[in-house]
Amino acid sequence: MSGSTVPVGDDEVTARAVGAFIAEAAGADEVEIGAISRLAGGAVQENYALDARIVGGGHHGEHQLVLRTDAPSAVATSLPRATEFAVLQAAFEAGVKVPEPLWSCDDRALIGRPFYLMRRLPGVAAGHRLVRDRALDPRRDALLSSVGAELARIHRIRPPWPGLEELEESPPVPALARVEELRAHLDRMGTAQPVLEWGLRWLERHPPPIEEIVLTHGDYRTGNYLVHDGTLSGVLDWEFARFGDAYEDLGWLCARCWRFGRLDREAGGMGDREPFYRGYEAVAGRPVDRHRVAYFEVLAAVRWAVIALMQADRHLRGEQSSLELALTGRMVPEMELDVLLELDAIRTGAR
Amino acid sequence: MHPRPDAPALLDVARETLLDEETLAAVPDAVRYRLRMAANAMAIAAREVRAGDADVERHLALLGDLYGADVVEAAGRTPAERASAMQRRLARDIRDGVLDGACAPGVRALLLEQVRRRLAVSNPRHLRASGLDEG
Repeated sequence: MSGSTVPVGDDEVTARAVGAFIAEAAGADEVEIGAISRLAGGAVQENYALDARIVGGGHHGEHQLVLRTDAPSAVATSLPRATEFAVLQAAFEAGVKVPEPLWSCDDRALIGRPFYLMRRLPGVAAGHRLVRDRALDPRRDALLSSVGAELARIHRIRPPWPGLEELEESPPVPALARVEELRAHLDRMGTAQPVLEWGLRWLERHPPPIEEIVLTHGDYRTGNYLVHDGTLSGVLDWEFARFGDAYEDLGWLCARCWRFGRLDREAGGMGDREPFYRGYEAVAGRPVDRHRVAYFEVLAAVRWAVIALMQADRHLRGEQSSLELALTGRMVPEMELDVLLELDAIRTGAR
Repeated sequence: MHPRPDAPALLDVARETLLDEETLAAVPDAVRYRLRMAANAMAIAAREVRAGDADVERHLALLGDLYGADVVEAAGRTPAERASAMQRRLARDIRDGVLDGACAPGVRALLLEQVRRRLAVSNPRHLRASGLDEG
Protein backbone atom coordinates (compact mmCIF):
# COMPACT_ATOMS: atom_id res chain seq x y z
CA MET A 1 0.00 0.00 0.00
CA SER A 2 1.49 3.30 -1.02
CA GLY A 3 0.10 6.78 -0.56
CA SER A 4 0.72 10.44 -1.05
CA THR A 5 0.83 12.92 1.81
CA VAL A 6 -2.63 14.42 2.06
CA PRO A 7 -3.51 15.32 5.65
CA VAL A 8 -6.96 14.76 7.16
CA GLY A 9 -7.13 18.43 8.03
CA ASP A 10 -4.18 20.30 9.38
CA ASP A 11 -1.50 17.65 9.63
CA GLU A 12 0.00 18.73 12.93
CA VAL A 13 -3.29 19.43 14.64
CA THR A 14 -4.55 16.02 13.55
CA ALA A 15 -1.37 14.27 14.67
CA ARG A 16 -1.56 15.91 18.09
CA ALA A 17 -5.25 15.08 18.53
CA VAL A 18 -4.80 11.47 17.45
CA GLY A 19 -1.70 11.12 19.63
CA ALA A 20 -3.56 12.38 22.69
CA PHE A 21 -6.47 10.06 21.93
CA ILE A 22 -4.20 7.00 21.62
CA ALA A 23 -2.36 7.94 24.83
CA GLU A 24 -5.62 7.92 26.75
CA ALA A 25 -7.07 4.82 25.04
CA ALA A 26 -3.84 2.83 25.43
CA GLY A 27 -3.03 4.10 28.92
CA ALA A 28 0.33 5.39 27.64
CA ASP A 29 2.56 8.10 29.09
CA GLU A 30 3.36 9.58 25.72
CA VAL A 31 2.52 9.00 22.05
CA GLU A 32 4.43 10.42 19.14
CA ILE A 33 2.81 10.39 15.69
CA GLY A 34 4.97 10.37 12.56
CA ALA A 35 3.96 11.52 9.07
CA ILE A 36 0.33 10.88 8.09
CA SER A 37 -0.23 9.84 4.48
CA ARG A 38 -3.47 9.09 2.68
CA LEU A 39 -3.82 5.57 1.29
CA ALA A 40 -5.20 4.94 -2.19
CA GLY A 41 -8.80 3.88 -2.78
CA GLY A 42 -12.05 4.57 -1.00
CA ALA A 43 -14.54 7.09 -2.35
CA VAL A 44 -16.63 6.67 0.78
CA GLN A 45 -14.06 6.10 3.51
CA GLU A 46 -10.64 7.63 3.84
CA ASN A 47 -7.68 5.65 5.12
CA TYR A 48 -4.47 7.18 6.41
CA ALA A 49 -1.25 5.39 7.20
CA LEU A 50 0.51 6.63 10.32
CA ASP A 51 3.29 5.42 12.57
CA ALA A 52 2.99 5.81 16.32
CA ARG A 53 5.67 5.54 18.98
CA ILE A 54 3.93 4.64 22.20
CA VAL A 55 5.74 5.09 25.50
CA GLY A 56 4.38 3.20 28.54
CA GLY A 57 1.18 1.20 29.02
CA GLY A 58 0.22 -2.10 27.46
CA HIS A 59 1.12 -1.03 23.92
CA HIS A 60 4.62 0.29 24.58
CA GLY A 61 6.61 0.30 21.33
CA GLU A 62 6.51 1.25 17.63
CA HIS A 63 3.22 0.69 15.78
CA GLN A 64 2.30 0.89 12.12
CA LEU A 65 -1.34 1.92 12.01
CA VAL A 66 -4.17 2.88 9.71
CA LEU A 67 -6.65 5.58 10.68
CA ARG A 68 -10.01 5.09 8.97
CA THR A 69 -12.60 7.84 8.81
CA ASP A 70 -15.61 8.93 6.74
CA ALA A 71 -14.93 10.86 3.54
CA PRO A 72 -16.60 14.29 3.65
CA SER A 73 -19.41 12.89 1.46
CA ALA A 74 -20.31 9.57 3.06
CA VAL A 75 -22.90 7.32 1.46
CA ALA A 76 -26.00 6.71 3.55
CA THR A 77 -25.97 2.95 2.96
CA SER A 78 -22.64 2.30 4.66
CA LEU A 79 -22.14 1.55 8.36
CA PRO A 80 -21.19 4.23 10.88
CA ARG A 81 -17.50 3.92 11.82
CA ALA A 82 -18.21 2.69 15.35
CA THR A 83 -20.41 -0.14 14.04
CA GLU A 84 -17.82 -1.06 11.42
CA PHE A 85 -15.26 -1.19 14.24
CA ALA A 86 -17.50 -3.62 16.15
CA VAL A 87 -17.79 -5.83 13.04
CA LEU A 88 -14.02 -5.77 12.60
CA GLN A 89 -13.59 -6.76 16.26
CA ALA A 90 -16.04 -9.65 15.88
CA ALA A 91 -14.24 -10.84 12.73
CA PHE A 92 -10.81 -10.52 14.38
CA GLU A 93 -11.94 -12.48 17.42
CA ALA A 94 -13.48 -15.13 15.16
CA GLY A 95 -10.07 -15.68 13.59
CA VAL A 96 -10.71 -13.94 10.27
CA LYS A 97 -7.61 -12.36 8.73
CA VAL A 98 -8.31 -8.66 9.26
CA PRO A 99 -6.28 -5.71 10.45
CA GLU A 100 -6.42 -5.87 14.25
CA PRO A 101 -8.88 -3.16 15.38
CA LEU A 102 -7.33 -1.11 18.20
CA TRP A 103 -9.27 1.99 19.26
CA SER A 104 -12.45 3.69 18.06
CA CYS A 105 -13.33 7.35 18.58
CA ASP A 106 -16.87 8.64 18.13
CA ASP A 107 -16.02 12.15 19.38
CA ARG A 108 -16.17 14.52 16.42
CA ALA A 109 -14.32 17.20 18.35
CA LEU A 110 -10.97 15.52 17.77
CA ILE A 111 -10.54 15.51 13.98
CA GLY A 112 -13.99 16.59 12.87
CA ARG A 113 -15.27 13.09 12.09
CA PRO A 114 -15.51 9.73 13.87
CA PHE A 115 -12.52 7.46 13.23
CA TYR A 116 -10.84 4.31 14.40
CA LEU A 117 -7.35 2.92 14.39
CA MET A 118 -6.24 -0.52 13.28
CA ARG A 119 -2.97 -2.26 12.68
CA ARG A 120 -1.48 -1.76 9.21
CA LEU A 121 -1.01 -5.01 7.29
CA PRO A 122 1.49 -5.50 4.49
CA GLY A 123 0.30 -6.23 0.97
CA VAL A 124 -1.33 -4.97 -2.20
CA ALA A 125 -5.10 -4.61 -2.60
CA ALA A 126 -5.39 -2.76 -5.92
CA GLY A 127 -7.43 -5.02 -8.22
CA HIS A 128 -5.83 -4.02 -11.51
CA ARG A 129 -2.37 -4.77 -10.08
CA LEU A 130 -3.29 -8.15 -8.57
CA VAL A 131 -4.98 -9.25 -11.77
CA ARG A 132 -1.96 -8.37 -13.92
CA ASP A 133 0.82 -9.50 -11.58
CA ARG A 134 2.59 -12.34 -13.43
CA ALA A 135 4.47 -13.31 -10.29
CA LEU A 136 1.13 -14.41 -8.83
CA ASP A 137 0.32 -16.76 -11.72
CA PRO A 138 1.73 -19.94 -10.16
CA ARG A 139 -0.07 -19.14 -6.88
CA ARG A 140 -3.49 -18.13 -8.17
CA ASP A 141 -5.30 -21.37 -7.28
CA ALA A 142 -3.88 -21.45 -3.77
CA LEU A 143 -4.60 -17.76 -3.29
CA LEU A 144 -8.22 -18.14 -4.44
CA SER A 145 -8.63 -21.12 -2.18
CA SER A 146 -7.70 -18.95 0.80
CA VAL A 147 -9.96 -16.15 -0.46
CA GLY A 148 -12.76 -18.74 -0.33
CA ALA A 149 -11.69 -20.13 3.04
CA GLU A 150 -11.55 -16.67 4.59
CA LEU A 151 -15.07 -15.89 3.35
CA ALA A 152 -16.37 -19.09 4.92
CA ARG A 153 -14.73 -18.02 8.19
CA ILE A 154 -16.62 -14.71 8.03
CA HIS A 155 -19.85 -16.62 7.39
CA ARG A 156 -19.42 -18.60 10.59
CA ILE A 157 -20.46 -15.44 12.40
CA ARG A 158 -24.21 -15.74 12.76
CA PRO A 159 -26.84 -13.71 14.57
CA PRO A 160 -27.23 -13.22 17.40
CA TRP A 161 -23.51 -12.57 17.96
CA PRO A 162 -21.99 -10.84 20.99
CA GLY A 163 -20.82 -7.36 20.03
CA LEU A 164 -22.97 -7.16 16.90
CA GLU A 165 -26.20 -6.06 18.57
CA GLU A 166 -26.02 -2.80 16.61
CA LEU A 167 -26.35 -4.58 13.27
CA GLU A 168 -29.84 -4.70 11.86
CA GLU A 169 -31.68 -8.00 11.85
CA SER A 170 -31.75 -9.68 8.45
CA PRO A 171 -35.00 -9.75 6.51
CA PRO A 172 -36.34 -13.33 6.04
CA VAL A 173 -35.44 -13.36 2.31
CA PRO A 174 -32.42 -11.06 2.00
CA ALA A 175 -32.36 -11.22 -1.82
CA LEU A 176 -35.92 -9.92 -2.13
CA ALA A 177 -35.21 -7.20 0.41
CA ARG A 178 -32.26 -6.17 -1.78
CA VAL A 179 -34.54 -5.94 -4.80
CA GLU A 180 -36.84 -3.56 -2.91
CA GLU A 181 -33.89 -1.57 -1.59
CA LEU A 182 -32.40 -1.13 -5.08
CA ARG A 183 -35.76 -0.09 -6.53
CA ALA A 184 -36.10 2.49 -3.77
CA HIS A 185 -32.67 3.92 -4.67
CA LEU A 186 -33.68 4.19 -8.34
CA ASP A 187 -36.94 5.90 -7.37
CA ARG A 188 -35.16 8.33 -5.07
CA MET A 189 -32.87 9.36 -7.95
CA GLY A 190 -35.88 9.59 -10.28
CA THR A 191 -34.03 7.72 -12.99
CA ALA A 192 -35.66 5.31 -15.48
CA GLN A 193 -33.45 2.25 -15.99
CA PRO A 194 -35.24 -0.44 -18.06
CA VAL A 195 -32.32 -2.90 -18.13
CA LEU A 196 -31.82 -2.74 -14.37
CA GLU A 197 -35.59 -3.07 -13.90
CA TRP A 198 -35.45 -6.13 -16.17
CA GLY A 199 -32.83 -7.67 -13.90
CA LEU A 200 -34.74 -6.74 -10.75
CA ARG A 201 -37.99 -8.19 -12.11
CA TRP A 202 -36.24 -11.49 -12.85
CA LEU A 203 -34.66 -11.52 -9.39
CA GLU A 204 -38.08 -10.88 -7.85
CA ARG A 205 -39.67 -13.74 -9.78
CA HIS A 206 -36.92 -16.28 -9.05
CA PRO A 207 -36.08 -15.95 -5.36
CA PRO A 208 -33.59 -18.60 -4.26
CA PRO A 209 -34.52 -21.12 -1.58
CA ILE A 210 -33.96 -19.73 1.90
CA GLU A 211 -30.52 -20.30 3.43
CA GLU A 212 -29.13 -19.70 6.86
CA ILE A 213 -28.51 -16.05 7.76
CA VAL A 214 -24.85 -15.15 8.30
CA LEU A 215 -22.66 -12.09 8.62
CA THR A 216 -21.95 -10.98 5.05
CA HIS A 217 -19.02 -8.73 4.25
CA GLY A 218 -21.06 -6.88 1.64
CA ASP A 219 -18.13 -5.88 -0.59
CA TYR A 220 -16.06 -9.07 -0.77
CA ARG A 221 -14.16 -8.78 -4.04
CA THR A 222 -10.75 -8.35 -5.59
CA GLY A 223 -9.59 -4.92 -4.49
CA ASN A 224 -10.79 -5.41 -0.92
CA TYR A 225 -8.34 -8.07 0.23
CA LEU A 226 -4.62 -7.67 0.69
CA VAL A 227 -2.12 -10.00 -0.95
CA HIS A 228 1.39 -10.15 0.46
CA ASP A 229 4.10 -12.46 -0.93
CA GLY A 230 1.48 -14.38 -2.88
CA THR A 231 -0.77 -15.06 0.09
CA LEU A 232 -3.88 -13.43 1.52
CA SER A 233 -2.88 -11.13 4.37
CA GLY A 234 -6.15 -9.44 5.27
CA VAL A 235 -9.75 -8.61 4.40
CA LEU A 236 -10.49 -4.87 4.22
CA ASP A 237 -13.40 -2.44 3.83
CA TRP A 238 -16.16 -3.71 6.08
CA GLU A 239 -18.45 -0.72 5.68
CA PHE A 240 -21.20 -2.69 3.89
CA ALA A 241 -21.25 -5.66 6.32
CA ARG A 242 -24.70 -6.89 7.31
CA PHE A 243 -26.58 -10.01 8.28
CA GLY A 244 -27.85 -11.66 5.13
CA ASP A 245 -27.46 -14.41 2.57
CA ALA A 246 -23.96 -15.93 2.36
CA TYR A 247 -24.32 -16.34 -1.40
CA GLU A 248 -24.49 -12.61 -1.90
CA ASP A 249 -20.76 -12.48 -1.05
CA LEU A 250 -19.99 -15.48 -3.29
CA GLY A 251 -21.82 -13.89 -6.22
CA TRP A 252 -20.24 -10.48 -5.64
CA LEU A 253 -16.71 -11.90 -5.82
CA CYS A 254 -17.41 -13.82 -9.04
CA ALA A 255 -19.52 -11.17 -10.81
CA ARG A 256 -18.30 -10.05 -14.24
CA CYS A 257 -18.09 -6.44 -13.05
CA TRP A 258 -15.30 -7.23 -10.57
CA ARG A 259 -12.82 -8.97 -12.87
CA PHE A 260 -10.69 -5.92 -13.70
CA GLY A 261 -10.57 -6.60 -17.42
CA ARG A 262 -9.93 -10.36 -17.10
CA LEU A 263 -13.42 -11.61 -17.97
CA ASP A 264 -12.00 -15.08 -18.60
CA ARG A 265 -10.92 -15.46 -14.97
CA GLU A 266 -14.32 -15.88 -13.39
CA ALA A 267 -13.28 -15.65 -9.76
CA GLY A 268 -12.57 -11.95 -9.32
CA GLY A 269 -10.29 -11.71 -12.37
CA MET A 270 -7.80 -13.78 -10.38
CA GLY A 271 -8.43 -17.31 -11.64
CA ASP A 272 -10.96 -20.12 -11.89
CA ARG A 273 -14.05 -20.47 -9.74
CA GLU A 274 -13.36 -24.01 -8.58
CA PRO A 275 -10.39 -23.32 -6.28
CA PHE A 276 -12.37 -20.44 -4.75
CA TYR A 277 -15.43 -22.65 -4.19
CA ARG A 278 -13.33 -25.52 -2.85
CA GLY A 279 -11.54 -23.25 -0.39
CA TYR A 280 -14.93 -22.06 0.82
CA GLU A 281 -16.35 -25.57 1.06
CA ALA A 282 -13.39 -26.87 3.05
CA VAL A 283 -14.05 -24.38 5.84
CA ALA A 284 -17.85 -24.15 5.56
CA GLY A 285 -18.21 -27.94 5.60
CA ARG A 286 -20.99 -27.85 3.00
CA PRO A 287 -21.07 -27.68 -0.80
CA VAL A 288 -21.49 -24.44 -2.73
CA ASP A 289 -24.58 -24.57 -4.96
CA ARG A 290 -23.15 -23.27 -8.26
CA HIS A 291 -26.57 -22.35 -9.68
CA ARG A 292 -27.45 -20.39 -6.61
CA VAL A 293 -24.29 -18.30 -7.09
CA ALA A 294 -25.48 -17.35 -10.60
CA TYR A 295 -28.61 -15.73 -9.18
CA PHE A 296 -26.48 -13.55 -6.95
CA GLU A 297 -24.23 -12.55 -9.85
CA VAL A 298 -27.28 -11.03 -11.52
CA LEU A 299 -28.02 -9.25 -8.25
CA ALA A 300 -24.37 -8.11 -8.07
CA ALA A 301 -24.52 -6.54 -11.54
CA VAL A 302 -27.70 -4.64 -10.71
CA ARG A 303 -26.42 -3.58 -7.30
CA TRP A 304 -23.11 -2.25 -8.61
CA ALA A 305 -24.97 -0.41 -11.39
CA VAL A 306 -27.22 1.26 -8.81
CA ILE A 307 -24.21 2.23 -6.68
CA ALA A 308 -22.51 3.65 -9.80
CA LEU A 309 -25.65 5.67 -10.57
CA MET A 310 -25.65 6.99 -7.00
CA GLN A 311 -22.02 8.03 -7.30
CA ALA A 312 -22.68 9.79 -10.60
CA ASP A 313 -25.73 11.41 -9.00
CA ARG A 314 -23.49 13.08 -6.41
CA HIS A 315 -21.62 14.70 -9.28
CA LEU A 316 -24.78 15.55 -11.22
CA ARG A 317 -26.44 17.25 -8.26
CA GLY A 318 -23.33 19.32 -7.65
CA GLU A 319 -22.65 17.71 -4.26
CA GLN A 320 -19.16 16.79 -5.31
CA SER A 321 -17.87 17.77 -8.74
CA SER A 322 -15.64 14.88 -9.75
CA LEU A 323 -14.47 13.38 -13.02
CA GLU A 324 -14.11 10.00 -11.33
CA LEU A 325 -17.75 10.02 -10.15
CA ALA A 326 -18.91 11.26 -13.56
CA LEU A 327 -17.09 8.43 -15.34
CA THR A 328 -18.48 5.91 -12.86
CA GLY A 329 -21.91 6.81 -14.23
CA ARG A 330 -20.67 5.96 -17.70
CA MET A 331 -19.77 2.44 -16.50
CA VAL A 332 -23.43 1.56 -15.99
CA PRO A 333 -23.89 0.09 -19.52
CA GLU A 334 -21.15 -2.45 -18.70
CA MET A 335 -23.20 -3.76 -15.80
CA GLU A 336 -26.35 -3.66 -17.94
CA LEU A 337 -24.67 -5.96 -20.44
CA ASP A 338 -23.63 -8.21 -17.54
CA VAL A 339 -27.27 -8.46 -16.44
CA LEU A 340 -28.47 -9.47 -19.91
CA LEU A 341 -25.62 -11.92 -20.60
CA GLU A 342 -25.97 -13.53 -17.18
CA LEU A 343 -29.72 -13.97 -17.63
CA ASP A 344 -29.09 -15.52 -21.09
CA ALA A 345 -26.57 -17.93 -19.57
CA ILE A 346 -29.05 -18.95 -16.86
CA ARG A 347 -31.90 -19.35 -19.37
CA THR A 348 -29.88 -21.53 -21.71
CA GLY A 349 -28.64 -23.65 -18.83
CA ALA A 350 -25.02 -22.57 -19.27
CA ARG A 351 -24.95 -21.54 -15.62
CA MET B 1 -22.06 27.86 -38.24
CA HIS B 2 -18.74 27.12 -36.52
CA PRO B 3 -15.33 26.96 -38.17
CA ARG B 4 -13.73 23.52 -38.42
CA PRO B 5 -12.48 21.34 -36.79
CA ASP B 6 -15.87 20.24 -35.43
CA ALA B 7 -16.59 19.20 -31.83
CA PRO B 8 -15.54 15.53 -32.01
CA ALA B 9 -12.42 16.37 -34.01
CA LEU B 10 -11.46 18.98 -31.40
CA LEU B 11 -11.96 16.42 -28.64
CA ASP B 12 -9.79 13.94 -30.57
CA VAL B 13 -6.87 16.31 -30.89
CA ALA B 14 -7.20 17.56 -27.31
CA ARG B 15 -7.10 13.94 -26.19
CA GLU B 16 -4.02 13.17 -28.26
CA THR B 17 -2.31 16.14 -26.65
CA LEU B 18 -3.13 14.91 -23.14
CA LEU B 19 -1.85 11.43 -23.94
CA ASP B 20 1.28 12.70 -25.65
CA GLU B 21 4.46 10.96 -24.41
CA GLU B 22 5.91 14.33 -23.51
CA THR B 23 2.87 15.38 -21.48
CA LEU B 24 2.65 12.08 -19.61
CA ALA B 25 6.39 11.96 -18.90
CA ALA B 26 6.27 15.43 -17.34
CA VAL B 27 3.73 14.59 -14.62
CA PRO B 28 3.79 12.39 -11.50
CA ASP B 29 1.95 9.04 -11.44
CA ALA B 30 -1.11 10.30 -9.54
CA VAL B 31 -1.60 13.12 -12.03
CA ARG B 32 -1.05 10.78 -14.99
CA TYR B 33 -4.02 8.75 -13.75
CA ARG B 34 -6.15 11.91 -13.79
CA LEU B 35 -4.98 12.79 -17.30
CA ARG B 36 -5.97 9.35 -18.50
CA MET B 37 -9.41 9.77 -16.92
CA ALA B 38 -9.81 13.15 -18.65
CA ALA B 39 -8.71 11.60 -21.96
CA ASN B 40 -11.24 8.80 -21.49
CA ALA B 41 -14.02 11.31 -20.83
CA MET B 42 -13.08 13.14 -24.05
CA ALA B 43 -13.15 9.90 -26.04
CA ILE B 44 -16.64 9.09 -24.74
CA ALA B 45 -17.87 12.62 -25.50
CA ALA B 46 -16.45 12.45 -29.05
CA ARG B 47 -18.12 9.10 -29.73
CA GLU B 48 -21.42 10.40 -28.33
CA VAL B 49 -21.36 13.45 -30.60
CA ARG B 50 -20.50 11.25 -33.60
CA ALA B 51 -23.37 8.84 -32.84
CA GLY B 52 -25.63 11.91 -32.89
CA ASP B 53 -29.37 11.45 -33.31
CA ALA B 54 -29.05 8.07 -34.98
CA ASP B 55 -29.08 6.27 -31.60
CA VAL B 56 -32.25 8.05 -30.46
CA GLU B 57 -34.02 7.38 -33.79
CA ARG B 58 -33.11 3.69 -33.69
CA HIS B 59 -34.24 3.38 -30.09
CA LEU B 60 -37.58 5.03 -30.90
CA ALA B 61 -38.08 2.66 -33.84
CA LEU B 62 -37.55 -0.36 -31.57
CA LEU B 63 -39.95 1.06 -28.99
CA GLY B 64 -42.42 1.54 -31.85
CA ASP B 65 -42.17 -2.17 -32.64
CA LEU B 66 -43.05 -2.98 -29.03
CA TYR B 67 -45.71 -0.36 -28.22
CA GLY B 68 -46.89 0.77 -31.66
CA ALA B 69 -45.52 3.71 -33.64
CA ASP B 70 -48.54 5.89 -32.77
CA VAL B 71 -47.99 5.42 -29.04
CA VAL B 72 -44.34 6.48 -29.38
CA GLU B 73 -45.32 9.43 -31.60
CA ALA B 74 -47.81 10.69 -29.00
CA ALA B 75 -45.28 10.41 -26.14
CA GLY B 76 -43.67 13.81 -26.76
CA ARG B 77 -43.04 16.64 -29.19
CA THR B 78 -39.34 16.06 -29.95
CA PRO B 79 -37.45 12.76 -30.42
CA ALA B 80 -35.57 13.43 -27.17
CA GLU B 81 -38.83 13.99 -25.28
CA ARG B 82 -40.38 10.87 -26.78
CA ALA B 83 -37.31 8.79 -25.93
CA SER B 84 -37.31 9.99 -22.34
CA ALA B 85 -41.06 9.46 -21.83
CA MET B 86 -40.95 6.00 -23.41
CA GLN B 87 -37.91 5.04 -21.37
CA ARG B 88 -39.92 5.81 -18.22
CA ARG B 89 -42.89 3.84 -19.47
CA LEU B 90 -40.70 0.86 -20.37
CA ALA B 91 -39.02 0.88 -16.95
CA ARG B 92 -42.39 1.06 -15.18
CA ASP B 93 -43.99 -1.65 -17.32
CA ILE B 94 -41.07 -4.00 -16.71
CA ARG B 95 -41.29 -3.44 -12.96
CA ASP B 96 -45.06 -3.97 -12.93
CA GLY B 97 -44.75 -7.25 -14.82
CA VAL B 98 -46.73 -5.94 -17.81
CA LEU B 99 -44.00 -7.22 -20.15
CA ASP B 100 -43.54 -10.68 -18.62
CA GLY B 101 -44.39 -13.71 -20.70
CA ALA B 102 -45.03 -13.46 -24.43
CA CYS B 103 -43.46 -9.98 -24.76
CA ALA B 104 -40.26 -11.01 -23.01
CA PRO B 105 -38.13 -12.06 -26.02
CA GLY B 106 -38.93 -8.80 -27.82
CA VAL B 107 -38.14 -6.74 -24.73
CA ARG B 108 -34.88 -8.58 -24.22
CA ALA B 109 -33.84 -7.90 -27.84
CA LEU B 110 -34.71 -4.22 -27.48
CA LEU B 111 -32.75 -3.91 -24.25
CA LEU B 112 -29.71 -5.67 -25.70
CA GLU B 113 -29.73 -3.35 -28.69
CA GLN B 114 -29.96 -0.34 -26.37
CA VAL B 115 -27.09 -1.57 -24.23
CA ARG B 116 -25.01 -2.32 -27.32
CA ARG B 117 -25.43 1.27 -28.48
CA ARG B 118 -24.70 2.70 -25.04
CA LEU B 119 -21.54 0.61 -24.78
CA ALA B 120 -20.42 1.49 -28.30
CA VAL B 121 -20.17 5.06 -26.96
CA SER B 122 -19.11 4.50 -23.33
CA ASN B 123 -16.79 1.51 -23.66
CA PRO B 124 -16.48 -0.19 -27.07
CA ARG B 125 -13.61 -2.33 -25.77
CA HIS B 126 -15.92 -3.95 -23.21
CA LEU B 127 -18.38 -4.67 -26.00
CA ARG B 128 -15.73 -6.44 -28.06
CA ALA B 129 -14.38 -8.31 -25.02
CA SER B 130 -17.92 -9.62 -24.46
CA GLY B 131 -18.08 -10.97 -28.01
CA LEU B 132 -20.47 -8.34 -29.39
CA ASP B 133 -19.77 -5.97 -32.28
CA GLU B 134 -20.28 -2.22 -32.40
CA GLY B 135 -22.85 -2.45 -35.21
